[in-house]
Amino acid sequence: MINLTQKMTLQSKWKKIYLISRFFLYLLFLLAGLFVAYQVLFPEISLDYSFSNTNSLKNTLFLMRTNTSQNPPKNGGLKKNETLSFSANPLGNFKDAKLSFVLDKKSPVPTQMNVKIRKAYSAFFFPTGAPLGFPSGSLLSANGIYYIISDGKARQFVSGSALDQLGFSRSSFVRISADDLKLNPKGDDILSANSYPEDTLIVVGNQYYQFKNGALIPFVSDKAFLSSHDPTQAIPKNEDFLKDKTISENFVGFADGTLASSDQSVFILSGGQSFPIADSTTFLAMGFDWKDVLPLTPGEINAYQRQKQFTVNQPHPNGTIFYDQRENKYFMIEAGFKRPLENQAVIKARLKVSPVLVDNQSLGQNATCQLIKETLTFHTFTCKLNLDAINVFAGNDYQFDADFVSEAKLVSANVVFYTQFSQANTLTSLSLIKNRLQNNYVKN
Amino acid sequence: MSKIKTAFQKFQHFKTIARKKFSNRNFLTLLYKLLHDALFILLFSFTLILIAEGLLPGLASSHLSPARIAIVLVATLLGIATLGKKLDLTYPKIRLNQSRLLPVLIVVSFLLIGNSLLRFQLWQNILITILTLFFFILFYHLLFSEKD
Repeated sequence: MINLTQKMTLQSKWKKIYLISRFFLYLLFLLAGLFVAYQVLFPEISLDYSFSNTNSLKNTLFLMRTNTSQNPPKNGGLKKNETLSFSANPLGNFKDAKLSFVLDKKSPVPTQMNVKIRKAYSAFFFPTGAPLGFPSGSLLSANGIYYIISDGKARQFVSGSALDQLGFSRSSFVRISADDLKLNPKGDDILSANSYPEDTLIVVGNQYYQFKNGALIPFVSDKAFLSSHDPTQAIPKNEDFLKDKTISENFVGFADGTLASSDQSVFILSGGQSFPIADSTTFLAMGFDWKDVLPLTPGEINAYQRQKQFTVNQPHPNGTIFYDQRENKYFMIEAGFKRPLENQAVIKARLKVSPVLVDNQSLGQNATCQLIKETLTFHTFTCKLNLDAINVFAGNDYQFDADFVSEAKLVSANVVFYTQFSQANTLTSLSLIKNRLQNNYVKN
Repeated sequence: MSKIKTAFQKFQHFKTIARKKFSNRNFLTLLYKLLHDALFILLFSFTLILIAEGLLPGLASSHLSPARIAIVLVATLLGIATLGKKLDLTYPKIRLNQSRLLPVLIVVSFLLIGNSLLRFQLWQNILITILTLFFFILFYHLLFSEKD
């Protein structure tokens, strides 16, 4: 051991005391070091929410709402028989979670508070919407009748000559059953070849266009077109076709939910916006697959409005497709709903990248506990949840539902997630550290 | 009332013992030596945390605040200085260029600064690192050099 005060001597009695004290000082340091190492390998994640400052950036519990409102309860006030729901998105492999509510001093003491926790992806908790049909621009044929999906509606070509005059090739129409077509509402029949139906896809050379409001909207690139359509669905035309047509200054981008890379960042593209994914851990935690990442040119990515970082606290954006392996069901996220893709033809038309794997059972399976007053506190109610029953499910979102049988006024909420001391978790933590080191120092 | 009186008497007794202890040179020397050991441990921990943070930002600081260690370090230094004064100790002036620590400090600083500039081109990184170190040493000499 290094001695910085070698020249200072002590009497033998004091020297003995010094040596013992020194031993304990180093032992204390060793124990502190072990404690920090334990915290690094088996982290405890603490997430908070303040009901008095609901917009605070320090709030790390999200989507605080009740069964009667999508907003956080005003000043933390909860009515009788109201359910408080919120999301927690910690990253890791957790064994237990401890939930605490601090009640206002003037709050009536609640008689019973039951808590339920489920695990899936945040967007997978969205309510189920109506089944989704074919995407606009699709060319379909059922029982020898030809259709185009225009503004989401199935429009029938009544006249075969109109079909030919407009330049559609009959072989490019995808054969489906009449039942498959029911997913798209019926639109007006196409009687003449005077103008192209809305959403018609056209290709001139390598440039793809979509016909909309009397103008041709160019796709930002051929890759963008291929991310949502098959090349056979576009009518091939030569340059002369464009002479008397209006070309829009807008563009059609990639299919919503496309994963793209530019420079050293990976983005999710949705609704004309690009969301840079915070890091590789977030990418993997959201269930994405590296092989689906499309490398984009600066021109392609600059066509999108860049947004704030996409983190694990945000739900998957519109266009994300979930796949439930157990029940063989597909869902697409659209405007706050998860819309089922109910038949194979629609799935084939919509599914261009790997879906995010989920399990429908995760919505029903839960862990429960009852909040009780913590000893040595006046207003804190806690309960501990064992997460074993829900840990098997994919997803990074823990959804809490706390039922308040009687009225209560909350000041704050806190959830602590505990990682189990185990060999598997040690290896996982070490592997994460190794991955981060590789990401920082190894050039691909 | 008698309880308060007993507590007060106990406090007085403790105060007398503490005063006696703090006038005992051996006790002060013992404390002084232990504080040096603590200082060494703290400096060692701080260096380890700095290196860990340099390699993987957030690895240590998300569990252990470097600011807290820095505060404890300053408090330990103040304790050492106070005890040194009580023990009438004088310190020889250490010249940086004669210290055995200098090469180690330069190498560690070079690696830490270089690591923070990893996204730069290698030649830019080395140039900026060398210039930064050069200015650091220049500042040190300006601040601590003996006046003519």
